[in-house]
Amino acid sequence: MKGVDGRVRIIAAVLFAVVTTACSRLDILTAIMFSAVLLAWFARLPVVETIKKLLSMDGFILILIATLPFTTTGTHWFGFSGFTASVEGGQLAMEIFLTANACMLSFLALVAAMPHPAIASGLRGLGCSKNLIQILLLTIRYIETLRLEYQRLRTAMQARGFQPRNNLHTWRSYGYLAGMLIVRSLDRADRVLAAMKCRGFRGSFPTVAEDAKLTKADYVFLWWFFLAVLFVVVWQWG
Amino acid sequence: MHVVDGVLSAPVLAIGGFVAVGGLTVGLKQVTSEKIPQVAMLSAASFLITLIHIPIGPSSIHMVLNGIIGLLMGWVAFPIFLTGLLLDAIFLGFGGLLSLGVNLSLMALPGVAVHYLFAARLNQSQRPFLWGACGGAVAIAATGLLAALALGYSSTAFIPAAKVVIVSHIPLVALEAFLCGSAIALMSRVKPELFLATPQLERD
Repeated sequence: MKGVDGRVRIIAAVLFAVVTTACSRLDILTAIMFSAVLLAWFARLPVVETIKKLLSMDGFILILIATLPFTTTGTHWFGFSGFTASVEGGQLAMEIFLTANACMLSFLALVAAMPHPAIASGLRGLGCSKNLIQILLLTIRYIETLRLEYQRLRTAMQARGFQPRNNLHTWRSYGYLAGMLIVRSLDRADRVLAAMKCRGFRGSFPTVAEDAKLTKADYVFLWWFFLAVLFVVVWQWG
Repeated sequence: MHVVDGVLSAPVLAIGGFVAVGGLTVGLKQVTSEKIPQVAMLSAASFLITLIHIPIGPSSIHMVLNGIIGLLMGWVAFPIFLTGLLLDAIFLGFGGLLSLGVNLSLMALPGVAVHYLFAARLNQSQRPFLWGACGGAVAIAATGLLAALALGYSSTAFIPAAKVVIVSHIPLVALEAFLCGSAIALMSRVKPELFLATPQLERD
C-alpha cells in the first residue's frame, strides 16, 4: 500500500467512514472492523502504538457507551440495584463502539501512515486551499521547535521549585506558561517570515509531484476498494 | 472537541460541515501569504498547549484555548483549529473524519463570537485579566453547550450523555476562565503591542 497515491488514500478513508457510519447491522460492522484491521496490517502500522491510540479515543466515548444500555428503553438484558440495561441499548452502544474504532483504524492506516508531505500534497491535489496546505506543513515543521521552547520554560519553572498542586498559584503559572508559549511562537513567526521574505517567498513552496498521474497500482487499489464497498452496500441494503 | 465518527446523525454532520466550510472560507480570506507563518505558529502552539495536563482535584484537564485564539485572531480561528484537529487525528488518533466539521465548528465558532464580544474591550484595557477570563469562560461554555446540542439533536438516546457533558463543563469553565485570564494578563505585559487599538496581528 506504500506506493498508493495520497489523493486515492484520502478518498478511500472518506468513503470508508461514510459507508461505516451508514451501516447499522452488527454483523456487517464486525466484518468492516476486520477489514480495517486488514488495512492496518497492509499499512504496517506499529501494533502497540496503534492499540494505545484506539484506547485513548475510546476514553472519549466511554461515558456514552456506559450509559446507553441503561438509558435506552427496550427488552430487559440485565440489571443491578435498580438499574436495568436493555438489549437495544447494548446493541446501540456496540454499534457506536465498532463504528468509531473501525473509522479511526482505517484513517490511521490510510491517511496517518503516509509521510506528512504526502498527506499535504494529497489534500492539495483534492482541491484544498493553497494557504491551508502551507499552514499545515509549517505547523508540522514547527511543533518540535516549539516543544523544545516549552521544555525550556518547564525546566525554568522546575529550577524555581515549581510543583503542580491544586491551588491558584499552580493554575496561574500554567496560564502564564501558555501565554508565554504564545508570545514566543509569535516572535518566532516574525523571524520565520523575515527569513522566508529573504528567500523570495511568494505565497507557496514548490511541492513535489502536485499533479502526478495515477499509476496502475492506484487503479488496482481503487477497484479493489470499490468492490469491497459495493459488497458492504449490497449486504446492508440489498 | 473530539466527537468520534458513528455518534452524530447525518443532519448534524451536514450542518457542522456547512458551518466549518463557511468559517474556513472567511478565515482563509484573511490569511495573506505574509500571515502564513503566524497562523502556523499559533496552530503549533495551541496544539502543544492542549497537550499540557493541568491538575484539578484528583484528575487533570487540558486547556481548550478557543477563547484566546478567538480573541487574538477572530475568524482565523477556523484554519488554526482545523490544523489542530487534523494533527490530533494524525498523531494521536483523536476525533473522526466525518465529524471533523462538527468538531471544528464547536471550537472555532465560540472563538469568533468571543472576538466580536470582547476583543475591542480587551484592547488598551487596564484589566486584561478580566476580559481574557470572560473570553475563555464564554468560549468554553458555548463549546460545551453546542456539543450537548449536537448530541441531543442526533438521537434522544444521547440526551443523558449530553447532560453529563453540560455538568462536567461547569468546573472546566471556571478553570479555563482563570487560565485564559492569566495568559492574557501575561501577554499584555510581555507584548503589549498585541493589544493596541488596532492590534499588530491585523495591521500586518
